[in-house]
Amino acid sequence: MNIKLLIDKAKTAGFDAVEVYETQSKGLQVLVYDGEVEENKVTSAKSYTVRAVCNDKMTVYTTETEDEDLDFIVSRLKENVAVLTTDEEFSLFTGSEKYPPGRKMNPIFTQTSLEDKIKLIVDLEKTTKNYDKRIVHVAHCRYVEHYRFVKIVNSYGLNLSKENQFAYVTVQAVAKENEQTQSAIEIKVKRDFSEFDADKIGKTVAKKAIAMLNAKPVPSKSYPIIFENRAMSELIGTFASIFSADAAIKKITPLLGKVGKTVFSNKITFVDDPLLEEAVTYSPFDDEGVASYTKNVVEAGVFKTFLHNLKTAKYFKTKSTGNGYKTGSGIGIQATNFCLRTNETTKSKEEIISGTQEGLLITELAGLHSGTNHVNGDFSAQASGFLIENGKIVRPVTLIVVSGNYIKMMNEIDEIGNDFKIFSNEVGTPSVKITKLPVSGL
Amino acid sequence: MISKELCRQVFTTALKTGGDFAELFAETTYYNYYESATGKITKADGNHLYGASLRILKGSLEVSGYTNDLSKDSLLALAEKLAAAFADGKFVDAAPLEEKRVDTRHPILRKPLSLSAQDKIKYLDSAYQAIKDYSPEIVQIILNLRDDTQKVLIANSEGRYLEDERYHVIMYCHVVAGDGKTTQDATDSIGGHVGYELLDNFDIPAFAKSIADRAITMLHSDEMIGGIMDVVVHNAFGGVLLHEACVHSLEATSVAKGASVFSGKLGTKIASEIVTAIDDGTIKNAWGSLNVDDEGETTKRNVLIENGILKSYLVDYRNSRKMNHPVTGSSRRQSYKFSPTSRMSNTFFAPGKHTFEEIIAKTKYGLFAKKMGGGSVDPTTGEFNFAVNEGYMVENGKITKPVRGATLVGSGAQILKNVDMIGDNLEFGYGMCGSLSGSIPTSVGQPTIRVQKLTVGGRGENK
Repeated sequence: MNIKLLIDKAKTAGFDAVEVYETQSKGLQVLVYDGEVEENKVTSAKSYTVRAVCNDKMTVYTTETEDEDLDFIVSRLKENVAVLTTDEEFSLFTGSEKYPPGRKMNPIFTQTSLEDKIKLIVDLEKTTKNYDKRIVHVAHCRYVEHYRFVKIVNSYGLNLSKENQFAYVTVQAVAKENEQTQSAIEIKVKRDFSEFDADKIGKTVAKKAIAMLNAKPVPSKSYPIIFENRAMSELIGTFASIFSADAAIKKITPLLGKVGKTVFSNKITFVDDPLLEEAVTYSPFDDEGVASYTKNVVEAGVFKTFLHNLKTAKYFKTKSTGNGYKTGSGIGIQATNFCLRTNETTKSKEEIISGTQEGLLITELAGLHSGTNHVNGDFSAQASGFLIENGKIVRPVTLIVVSGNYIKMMNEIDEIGNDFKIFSNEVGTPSVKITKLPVSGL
Repeated sequence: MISKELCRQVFTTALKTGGDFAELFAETTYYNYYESATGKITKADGNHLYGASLRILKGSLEVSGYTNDLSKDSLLALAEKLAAAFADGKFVDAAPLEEKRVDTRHPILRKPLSLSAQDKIKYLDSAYQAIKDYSPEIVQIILNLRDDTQKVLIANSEGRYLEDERYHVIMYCHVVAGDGKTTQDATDSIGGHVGYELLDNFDIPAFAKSIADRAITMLHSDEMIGGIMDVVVHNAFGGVLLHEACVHSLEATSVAKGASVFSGKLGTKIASEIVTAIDDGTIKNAWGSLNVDDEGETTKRNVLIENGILKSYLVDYRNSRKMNHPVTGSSRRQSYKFSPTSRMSNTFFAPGKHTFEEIIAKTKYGLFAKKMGGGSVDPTTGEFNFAVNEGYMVENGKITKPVRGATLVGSGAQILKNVDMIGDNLEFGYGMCGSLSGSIPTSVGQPTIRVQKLTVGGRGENK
């Protein structure tokens, strides 16, 4: 695609500013079943997203064909921009003064043979299956590799590019005993092929599925709840949208009007950390070309800032926080490596469990996509985990519903674990104990 | 998009190392999105998806790849690359391709690309005007309109070569109500495999008002107090219960490997005898309907459960090889970027003999789930969850007060046996279903049903 010509044509047609966001991606996906490759997929795709501004209004057109007629693109942009009546003011970016360095791509994925990648998951499936005779299936066992190149060019002279690469394995173990079936899933995302440990992942997932066998609900009442780090990361990820300035403009966040105020327990600090070295995702600039930086969103319980893109920054008369990322057709707001940190003393998960008279350790949550009210922070989620009595895990628990309000819960933090970990949803957190939450079961 | 001659060449190359089936799926799809917030148009965007996927099967082993370069060189290079995944095997050449005309069973009167953006935003305005002054407690109205126009080419080494066109229009309405202390929201949608005549023939103001009314009702409701109780699930989107709790576990993706709770249960009783469940991809202009599925197979009306007996799974071509079960016209994919597999279309419980009033009158204590939200299921265990967006308590055969925040959990195998009353008021709701082959339009439907002894979660606490 002749990007320069497209920009010129759109400018001639009356647009004030024009940008092309180009992506090139490549991928590999291998699935094994019963020791044999079952699926092997190689992918490559390109896309061009054109954002065009006229009188502070913006329209977006994306195409996947290099041969798209440039005049057709411009005519679509003109037709669409003409119907916009929003008061929000959109703009394109002229560039940040300085950008963090890009990350070196690890050539290890391209240097590793397909045979070695297949062997990894064949071994993983075998370890999982052979762990215990109660493991009746390995429902899926998959290796996925992804490379993405992004280039942003606009009529203000911005010209930036970045690339990202990672691979992950995912495996699901199914265990059966006494007519009850339980399953567990494990996902490991890595930037270096040599970091995958089939033996460890396989044993972990098998152990998890077996631990859940013979699980049953608990009586309905309120319990002290320990969210294990993975379950906690899902809750935090689900409610990350309440920090979006776009939600503030639409008045659909419970944090509306709360900047500068104490919103959570003083044990809680939330950091948006796009440059975090240990994380798989690293983003030197956002999808609008704004340089990324590390920022406290909540500091010891005090709400410091909404996350902004260029549009919301203009609306609130502030600067973009570099959180403008493509969502759907336009630019939404996202955190990258959103981390729960604390200045308080922490304990190991085991110590927190042993200090709990009666309570639940929640290891899995499901249904957060539907059982969540982002407008007021209410949630209800299907949960499973373990019942704790007198400081000891006594049995597995399933088919219960844990409910609460995210804001209220974050004010009722009892203890915070020392097992901080970043998960595949780009959220990092330790395990967290909440004073109590209502549970529905028997 | 790709000539018959080139398809044949691609298949010959793809099969030269012993593959026994090759298939090309090419598409060019235009999407349009419009959004309004508090009456102002905030979004008018377009998207053009363009590419092709090639897959080769050998038995049930699948090798596939996609590209957005549909030139001869690119497609033949892809075929070479994929074929290299097989060890040398016996070469069986592709059959000659025979072009087949697809009969359109879903007439499209006002195609999305024939309307201007100006024409389309009028529908959003009509919804906004209907409810902007509905109540001072309404704090936000977000409306979305989306259409797509998809042209596909499906060809395979067994001689299939056909083109099809698919059109979708869907409108979403999201209303937020608040009283200064708390906020509640309500959403609903209307959609079809249809043109814009869908919205011309639809009472948009009444639809918008029903959503505004629900947001206000929920704002003034009590928190659900959880426990085990009878649940009356209302018609239309209530069918999400069947979709999540049961039919996901009847898709070949989970059944083929014996991993589903319903594996090996064909011909056996898996539900209460009053339960008949159907997946029908042929319903005229319905949201989940297609002329042909994404393997080019004519869609069908599949009776899955008849009077409690399991009759059929949903099966795609590749899984049919593993399962020794005929294909059911159910193979779908979000786009060329996903491999097709067995999925639902329009899934519903057939009507029963009770009236809605009877079902409520016969319920001593329980929850009336008038409007369901989304949910999810783990097909290996059948354990599901879903949200109730609008709920009421039923006490001594009467609907008493609204409750919010209810969540239903249970196991699919159990719930099917615990359905004890089915109403006569079948209706449909519209959703996007996400699974292995991406996010696709599916309808869910049912008459009002009653399920005995279901776990209901909620934030309320007994005082």
